[in-house]
Amino acid sequence: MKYAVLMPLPATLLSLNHEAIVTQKEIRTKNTATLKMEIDHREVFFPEGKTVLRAAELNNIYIPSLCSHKDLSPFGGCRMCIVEIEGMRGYPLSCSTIAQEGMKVLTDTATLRDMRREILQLILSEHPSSCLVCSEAQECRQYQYTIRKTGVTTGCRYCPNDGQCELQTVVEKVGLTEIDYPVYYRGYEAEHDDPFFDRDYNICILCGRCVRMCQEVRGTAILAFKYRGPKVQIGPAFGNSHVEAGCEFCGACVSVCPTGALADKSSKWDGKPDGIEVSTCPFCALGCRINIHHKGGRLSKVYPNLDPEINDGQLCVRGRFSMPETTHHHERARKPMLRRGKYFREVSWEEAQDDVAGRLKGLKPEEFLMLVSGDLTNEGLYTAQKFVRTCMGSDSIDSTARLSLPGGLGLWTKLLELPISIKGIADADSIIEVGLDSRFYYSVIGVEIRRALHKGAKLVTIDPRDSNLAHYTDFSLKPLPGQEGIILDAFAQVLNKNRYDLKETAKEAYIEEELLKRVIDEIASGEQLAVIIGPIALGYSSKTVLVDAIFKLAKRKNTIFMPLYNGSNIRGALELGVFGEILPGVVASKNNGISLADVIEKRKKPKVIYLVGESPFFERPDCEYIISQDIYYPPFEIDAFLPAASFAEADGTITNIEGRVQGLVKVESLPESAVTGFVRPDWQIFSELSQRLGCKDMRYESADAVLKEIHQNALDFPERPDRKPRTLVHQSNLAMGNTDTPATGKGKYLLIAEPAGFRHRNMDLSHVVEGLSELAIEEGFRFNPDDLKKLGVESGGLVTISTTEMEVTSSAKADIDCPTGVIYFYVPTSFGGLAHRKGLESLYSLQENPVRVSVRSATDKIKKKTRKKKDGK
Amino acid sequence: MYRVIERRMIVPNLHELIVEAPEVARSIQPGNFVIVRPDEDGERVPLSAADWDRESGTVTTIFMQVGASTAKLARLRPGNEIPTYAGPLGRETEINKFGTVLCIGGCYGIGSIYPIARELKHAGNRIYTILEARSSYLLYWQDRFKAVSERVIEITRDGTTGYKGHLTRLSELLTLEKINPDRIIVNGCTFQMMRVSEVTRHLGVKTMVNMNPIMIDGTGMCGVCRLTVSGKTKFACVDGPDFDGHEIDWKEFLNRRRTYNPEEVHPLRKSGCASHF
Repeated sequence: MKYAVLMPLPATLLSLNHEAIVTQKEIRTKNTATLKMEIDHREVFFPEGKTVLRAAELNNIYIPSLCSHKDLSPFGGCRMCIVEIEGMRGYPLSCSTIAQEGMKVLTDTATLRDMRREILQLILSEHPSSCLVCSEAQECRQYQYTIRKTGVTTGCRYCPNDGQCELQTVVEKVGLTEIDYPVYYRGYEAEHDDPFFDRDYNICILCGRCVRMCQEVRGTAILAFKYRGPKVQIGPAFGNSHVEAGCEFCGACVSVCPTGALADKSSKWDGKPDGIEVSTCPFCALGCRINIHHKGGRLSKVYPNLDPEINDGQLCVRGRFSMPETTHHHERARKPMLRRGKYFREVSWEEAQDDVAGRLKGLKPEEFLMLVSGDLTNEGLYTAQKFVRTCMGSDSIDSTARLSLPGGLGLWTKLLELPISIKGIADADSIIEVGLDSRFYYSVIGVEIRRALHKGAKLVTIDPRDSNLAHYTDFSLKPLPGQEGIILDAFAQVLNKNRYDLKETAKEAYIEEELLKRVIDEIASGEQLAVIIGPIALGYSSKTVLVDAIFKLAKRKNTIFMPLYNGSNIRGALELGVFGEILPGVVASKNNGISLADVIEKRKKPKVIYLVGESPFFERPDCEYIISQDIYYPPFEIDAFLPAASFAEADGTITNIEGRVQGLVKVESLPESAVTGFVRPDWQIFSELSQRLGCKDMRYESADAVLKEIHQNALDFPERPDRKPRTLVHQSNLAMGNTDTPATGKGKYLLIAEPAGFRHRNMDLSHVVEGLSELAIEEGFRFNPDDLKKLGVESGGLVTISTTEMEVTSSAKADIDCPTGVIYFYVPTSFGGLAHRKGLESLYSLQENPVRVSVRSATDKIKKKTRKKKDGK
Repeated sequence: MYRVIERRMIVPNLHELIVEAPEVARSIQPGNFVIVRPDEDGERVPLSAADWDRESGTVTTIFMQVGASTAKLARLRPGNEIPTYAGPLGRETEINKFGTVLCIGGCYGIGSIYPIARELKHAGNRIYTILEARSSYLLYWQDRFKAVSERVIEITRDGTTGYKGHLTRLSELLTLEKINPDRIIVNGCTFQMMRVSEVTRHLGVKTMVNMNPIMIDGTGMCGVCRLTVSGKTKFACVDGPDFDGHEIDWKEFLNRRRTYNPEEVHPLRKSGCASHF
């Protein structure tokens, strides 16, 4: 089964960065191509405002070029695209000349060919290119297989981009076989000291695509041209590293590099891929479309897809760089295992399933609990709940997706009924953003915001701290944490023309009334409004005002929303009922089972816990038998392990925040073996287990069959992958959870828990993706430097944080963005492998967020202790 | 532990490594090699000796960064210590009075052929040296060779210095330069040694090559470095590394060298900072 159409491999394989790939948008406008000109004595039509180069490309006429790119402004750096235009002096650049009605253009005359050859030789005299002109290139390819893995590129055979290089293509097209100029090797040290991509500026041709991509499309402007003349080089200013400069590691620069100067670390030695498949990113709620490159039956690397609906050629660090390591890490669990006495042994699937089925047979509803991750495919989620409900005869199913939907399922069924649109953000006139940092999370939303700003939109950020969007914001409102809702509510009231006194809001949120007025005027003057709510604001335990404000704003015409949640298929989990209280199609259920909270709070003690992509415990929970079905082992002792297929190893669908049901495509195609393992998709494991338990109606042949059944049982769920956005349709009348638990207590400081880390299934991706671990926000507390000074603690020192009920000690770091009197506490979104954080457990389970706490230095105590020890000696 | 005196990249990808190892330096001869480990978990990497100083007890090798372990070596700084520097290993190159000897070096082989040329010169031979690279900026140590050879001839694939082309032009080169060698010694990459052996077979000149198979212990125990010479299995570590280039089964040798290609790439699939370089 293939959900996505197999993308044919372009001749040069420059899937993203080559000009010849025309976006869907442009194909549409091609139909409106009304102007006429002549290229190479051929009459061609083109839409207004296109450059000569683009007009030629739209008509399949090749003009060599190395620096132009469809998303970027004309640069005229490489000079390869010179043409002759009747009535124009000299040889104009086709990439920066706007095509006009009636123009007569020649692209391939003898003079042009000579000049291009000359220009190309000059480019190559500074680009190690001996392989290009070597007479033995072919034999070398055959015999010298290993030389590719070198540290510095000194020729095509040593280059990670060999066979996929635009420069190679242009050399071939121009027909260059000799280089008459002496070679100049720049002798820069290759740069390997940032995560995710390597940089060797010795082979850079200074086309400036990366610089323009970073500035124009991403809006980050991390990259720039440094120095002058022959020493000009690309990189962040002032000799900073990319991490220091604030790079998002989105990889957009790598994607557009025409040479091998920029290359993905984890896949640069794979070489030219065997093929590309279009799939969906399984890491967050946006569901970006991706092109998965595969080589030798394995996932090699991931490029963004040019899909205009969601990500339009952009990705974030997770989607772009994290998949190869997540799939192929050496700790990846690929074989069924059973505990036999004191040994945890590899067994056959039959043996494992027999054992598991034997344990599951005859369990009473309160003796069994299944926990399902919201990162599973729709097919996995549906079969999981069906397995529990039909084979186990209970509603004992729960999911940590609940934590991603703070405020309860009832609230979220309503939030997901709002008009949600990712693409809509770029068309908005004003954007209100509440508590989102799009550097590593929802990076594509950040790009959409910048696109809107580029078109003249106004951005209002309501965030106690400076996020990465603070550089572009028009109005930065910095209320106290927890007060964001009040401001949004004021906006909603005034915009809905209710009588409202802004003075009160201004006082309460510590924001000037005048500023509030100006912001509201600005929003009111625009037509389209986009409201983006980051997970932190919705994570506050007191959010009634915020939620009310959202629904009030929803009454306004032309308003779109983006209530962001952590996790990828959370919407699917909600629609397919992997919670005790709802059935597929968001129908309320009788709920006779037990829940995760019952186990954590030790109210119930099930005999068997079945973990599917979950490990929300610090250590093994108290029960007789634990089954784990996952792609990595959970970090505590288990009794049975069933290896699940990852996103690249099985077909399936996931539902994004807009309700699009998008396909995941199987790219890993190596046959099962002791090395490649015996992984199976989640739905298949459930289906096979159900047969052993005597359930008749769970026999599925493919993921397609499961999706068909979902379509029959869940309202509005499509029969096959369908990329149409859907607002949530449901019949449930789930009560809104408690959305109003204001911070009580008397402490001097306000502590805010913020979800952090990069969760996928049961683990934090930074455990297996080395680069992410370098970016991941470190655990512990963030204080304003002044507060730390007052406490007499140095950054990194220990503090004790206490409420009336609990007390924890951990290290505190200074963070200039942290307002005074506020502590940010990063809560991992995945508990797997965090046994070392067990000391903080009491903080994780607090019902309040924010919470008032008292803080004192813990360093003194330790100092005293050590002093005592010394004295004793 | 062995102290690193110097490690620097002399041309792109080729590094000079000078290590203090008095025991090795005392008895090492041209053609010998040492086995180096970058750290205690590292692979054993065989490197040909390129120079030594018996008095100060240091040995110089030239290595190419071409995978995980050599990447670790390439990160060494003067003063660092490495756990293994075993040698001298292998048989030394035959040094005799042959008459006119042509020394051909390429890549890391430019380093290891230098002591051979020097010793042969001492033994009273006329030395001619050919240094081969893909481009001018990849050549090194020309001055050292000038001191021991009658003439140093350079040949580059792109013609940026010396002759243009590859050593397949060898017989033409010999005619042009009027060299009539009694023996040819080649140190370099496998491809180059194979090419030269093919050419000199027709010239009828005995050609010695310095083989570079995958190797583990270097003392004849594991047998990983075996190759077929005149139909007989030999171990490069104890029977070589010098063999007659005309007797080697090159096809089998090249195939054996790529046995672990997937495994060689595997440790490099990491996205962290400088994790593999």
